[in-house]
Amino acid sequence: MVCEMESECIEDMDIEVLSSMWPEDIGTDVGKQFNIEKPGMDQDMLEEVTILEEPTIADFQRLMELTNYTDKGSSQLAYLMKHWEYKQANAVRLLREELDNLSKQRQEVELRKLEILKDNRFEEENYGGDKRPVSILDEVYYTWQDLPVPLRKSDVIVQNKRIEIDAEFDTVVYWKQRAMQLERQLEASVQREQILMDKLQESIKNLERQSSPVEELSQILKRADNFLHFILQNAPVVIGHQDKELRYRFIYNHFPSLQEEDIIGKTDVEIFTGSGVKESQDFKREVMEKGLPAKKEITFETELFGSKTFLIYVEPVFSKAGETIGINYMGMEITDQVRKRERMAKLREEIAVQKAKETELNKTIHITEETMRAKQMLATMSHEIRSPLSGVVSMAEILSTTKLDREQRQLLGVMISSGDLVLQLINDILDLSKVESGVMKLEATKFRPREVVKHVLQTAAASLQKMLTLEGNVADDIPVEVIGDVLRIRQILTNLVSNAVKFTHHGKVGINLYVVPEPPFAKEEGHQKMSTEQSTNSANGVKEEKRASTPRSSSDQNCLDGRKHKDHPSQNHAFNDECRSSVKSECSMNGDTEEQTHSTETTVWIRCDVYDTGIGIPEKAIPTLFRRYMQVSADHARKYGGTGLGLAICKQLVELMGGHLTVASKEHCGSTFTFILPYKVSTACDNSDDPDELSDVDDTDDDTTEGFFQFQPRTLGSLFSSNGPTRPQNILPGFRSSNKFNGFSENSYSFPTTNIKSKGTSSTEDASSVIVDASEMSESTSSSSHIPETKHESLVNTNKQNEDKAHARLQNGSLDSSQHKEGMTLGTMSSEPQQTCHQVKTDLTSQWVSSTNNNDTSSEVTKSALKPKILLVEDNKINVMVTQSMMKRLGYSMDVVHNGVEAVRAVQRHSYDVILMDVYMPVMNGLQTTKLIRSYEETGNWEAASKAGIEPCLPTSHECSVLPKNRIHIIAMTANTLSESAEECYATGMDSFVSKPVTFQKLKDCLEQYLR
Amino acid sequence: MDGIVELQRQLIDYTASLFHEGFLDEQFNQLQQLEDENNPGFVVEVVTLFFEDADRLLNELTKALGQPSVDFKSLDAHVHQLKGSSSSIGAHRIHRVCISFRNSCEEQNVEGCLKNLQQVKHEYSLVKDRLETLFRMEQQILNAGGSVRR
Repeated sequence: MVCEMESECIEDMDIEVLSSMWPEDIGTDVGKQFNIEKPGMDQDMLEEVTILEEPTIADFQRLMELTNYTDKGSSQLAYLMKHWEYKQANAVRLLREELDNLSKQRQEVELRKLEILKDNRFEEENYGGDKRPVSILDEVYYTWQDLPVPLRKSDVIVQNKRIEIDAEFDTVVYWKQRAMQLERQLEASVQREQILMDKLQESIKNLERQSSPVEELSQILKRADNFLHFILQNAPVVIGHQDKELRYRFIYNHFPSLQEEDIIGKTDVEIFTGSGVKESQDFKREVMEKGLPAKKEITFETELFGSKTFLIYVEPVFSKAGETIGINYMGMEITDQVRKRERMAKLREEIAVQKAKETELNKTIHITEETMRAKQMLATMSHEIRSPLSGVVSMAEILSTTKLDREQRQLLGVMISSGDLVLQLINDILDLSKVESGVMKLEATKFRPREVVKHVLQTAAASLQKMLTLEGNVADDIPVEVIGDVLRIRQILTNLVSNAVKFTHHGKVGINLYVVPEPPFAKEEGHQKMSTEQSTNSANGVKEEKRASTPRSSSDQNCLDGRKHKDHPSQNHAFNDECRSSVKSECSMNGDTEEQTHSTETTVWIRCDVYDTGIGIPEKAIPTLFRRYMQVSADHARKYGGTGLGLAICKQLVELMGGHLTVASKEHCGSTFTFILPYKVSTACDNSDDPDELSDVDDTDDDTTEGFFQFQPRTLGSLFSSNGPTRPQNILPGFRSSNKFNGFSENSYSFPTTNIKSKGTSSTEDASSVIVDASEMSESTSSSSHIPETKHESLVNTNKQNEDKAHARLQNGSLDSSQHKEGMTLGTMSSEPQQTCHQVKTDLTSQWVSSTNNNDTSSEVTKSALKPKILLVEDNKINVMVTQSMMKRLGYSMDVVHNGVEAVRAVQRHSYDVILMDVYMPVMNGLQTTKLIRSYEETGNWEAASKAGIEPCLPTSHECSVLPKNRIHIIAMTANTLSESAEECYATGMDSFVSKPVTFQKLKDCLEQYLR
Repeated sequence: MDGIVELQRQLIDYTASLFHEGFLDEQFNQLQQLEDENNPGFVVEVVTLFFEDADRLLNELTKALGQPSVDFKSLDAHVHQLKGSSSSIGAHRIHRVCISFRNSCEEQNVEGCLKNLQQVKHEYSLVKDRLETLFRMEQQILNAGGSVRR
């Protein structure tokens, strides 16, 4: 059919080139665009041409079938038929019209004939009167003008003849002639009629001879086929018809890659393999089943033509009975489009992602700005809060010096400790922003984990308003003392415990402490942290080392043996380092190792669990738990209050210290917060004979070894009595003194031999005797609340060494008093106020020296001998005045100088225990001054000062030539409370700082820290 | 005696108002606590000293800022002095202005400095007036044989 069509098309269409493109001889090699089922493959194309109309051609058979059996085919056929019928009908109509006209004419002619006959008969009388011409068909004829041309040919023109009669009217001849004439006319008319009849006959015959509808139909089909081909010849489409079994019956493919026989009669699956084939087959089948046309995009991945995407249109073909007998299938390759579309989609996706990122970024920026604003507000606010709060606290402190009964004192204690806590927290909130900005620096101080745990629990117990048991478990292998930033650690613990208490309604809240091996997360960062910690360990660690490296021989010449004993304790108090270790095995072990290796530092990882039996945390809330301002839900926030900052701070702090904070929780059962932190342990041990045990007896609170604390739900009246039911009993003093270690490292650095010796000899006895006295004494003082200032007169005449020793005692005593204080504020054992403790201290001193308990009045001489030497370096007169008055009120006197240069001179002349140093001063500021003094302490000369332009004073006094015997505690006084300022102070060698304006409390705290 | 009680009540109210309005802060309380029988009139003494000092410093500041080229370093030093003094006696509002004043010095902002100087002077005159009134009231009570400390 193709070829047949082609050969004809050439005549009709110039563009038809298909025959040259697909010559017959290669037709079998490459396949053809049109592959139509044929009866036999042995027939060549030419034969096909000749058998053009042979009905045995399978495609026609199929086509016939289709036209016969399908609705579509029959409708198409019907249309063609109708068209043809219309055309024929038109022709018939025209002929019939012609015929009608002819017969009408004839009738008319006959009518006229009759009329004429009648007229003639009638006109016989008036014949000559009128001679009207008669024209026949003259007008009628032209109504036929619009007839089709072939019909026109057959038109007959009827001549209009006049009847002429020569004979005389109304004669016989005339009538004869007339009749004959009419006769002739009639004959002509009949003849015409005959001709017309013939014509009609001929026309009908001709009509019958015209082409059959089949012929015309195939003509039309051919034409359509040609057009179709013309349109399709370059279109990337595949068109096909498949029968019920989805075998191809017809396919047109612009890029044939298969031979005809490979396709016709086969199904998709039989033809190709690869992905998409099955899908398309299934889709076709689906369409067939559903009976509804559908479109689908299918990506093929076949060996035949690679990866291509086709848009397939499949429509079912129905038989007249409504059965599906096959499908028409049309596919268009849209691989490029799909690729483009996918690229577009990807692009769009990217744009969307970009946009999302952008909004996220904007949000972040917004949040950051918000945070910065909040931080700024926080900073200003905290400043605003701090002043009034410190007012409240210092008022409370002062109130505690007045006469109060036991309960009032206890309440006041809680008030003060709470106030302190709030102040601390405000500072720490400020610190949080510092942590984030990287400004935060950690401090390394020695502290006792057991003490921290206990105090945290005590504090929590004191403010507890529920029936909860608070307990603490400290494993035996936890070192007595470790080095770390105790304030931060305490803050973390306090936060976690108060959190636990907040969310626990019954049951218990507890702390577990135990040593763990170094966790994997810290292997690397741990080392870093350690090094930074070491570098920040300026206040204590470095100091010790410096002291250790300072040439001591010269100072030894001037310092008596006893004096040494005086010196060291006073420093040790800075660390709160009383050695109250008991017979615990690890203590003696520490002691042993210590004596051989003086300065080894090891890192220990301590895991701390804070557990509760509270409401727990839903799993979904855990990821956001440590975010700032986040709480488990808005409900919780309403119910329990809080800022949502606590855990964020904890996490920040723990991570800053190189640790990890995690949480495990089960809703309604409780939560456990766990943090693991590295601490350094100074294994340095001390065996000095310091009669530190005073504190142990006094306190009956053996923090160093106690491993378990419990605070039962309190009831009214037993507010503070629940502490430490499991506390071990006091240990014999002899044991204690021999187990000294850890705290007094300097002694062991500098005078190991002396220490060992002194341990063995006098100290044990001394200590034990003192302990007894002290315990008695504390009994007595606790009943009599206020004892006149000092009772030192007995000391006036004691010899130098005794005096020094007494001083040492005094300092130890004051240390005890600090424990008293803690006990009081935290509600543990002693309810003595601080001032009274001071009295205890002096009592002890005098008793130890003279074994009498005098009630003498104070004397200035004694005071100056015992009181520490304090120097105030301050240029502002008013500040001087206020500070001086406060000092006086606190029971100290001090020297005052107004700038750094004067301070250096003063230090050259006298030896001071403490210098309060203004930082910002004219002439020479505090930092510079401190550097000079430290330089002197290290080198023993004032060269640095000379270089700075301060000529050394003449050795007029004895003290001036005295070489540095003791490190002076230099306390900075600064109006600037920002961290960097403090850092600077520490960096130049200052020991601590107080912020201005100076208050009672600040002064007292400072002096207590350094003047024990 | 009733008169004294009334005066004492007034004094308390007045003192409270000074705190409330921010003229004074708790540092002033510290000063008051420093006053005792061994050290009577301590507050007056310190505050008088402060007045003298402040008068001097304000003069210096006015002079320094009047110079064609301002020596910000010495200016800052003076402000620091005033800041320290005011902070020590608890003259809260002066202290605060001094902080801003020092910022202006740091920025070398003459205009800001002048503004701050004006403000300091204003605050100073206010607090001086208030404190003098306070002392007068105290003196009245003392003269009437009452006690001003509770």
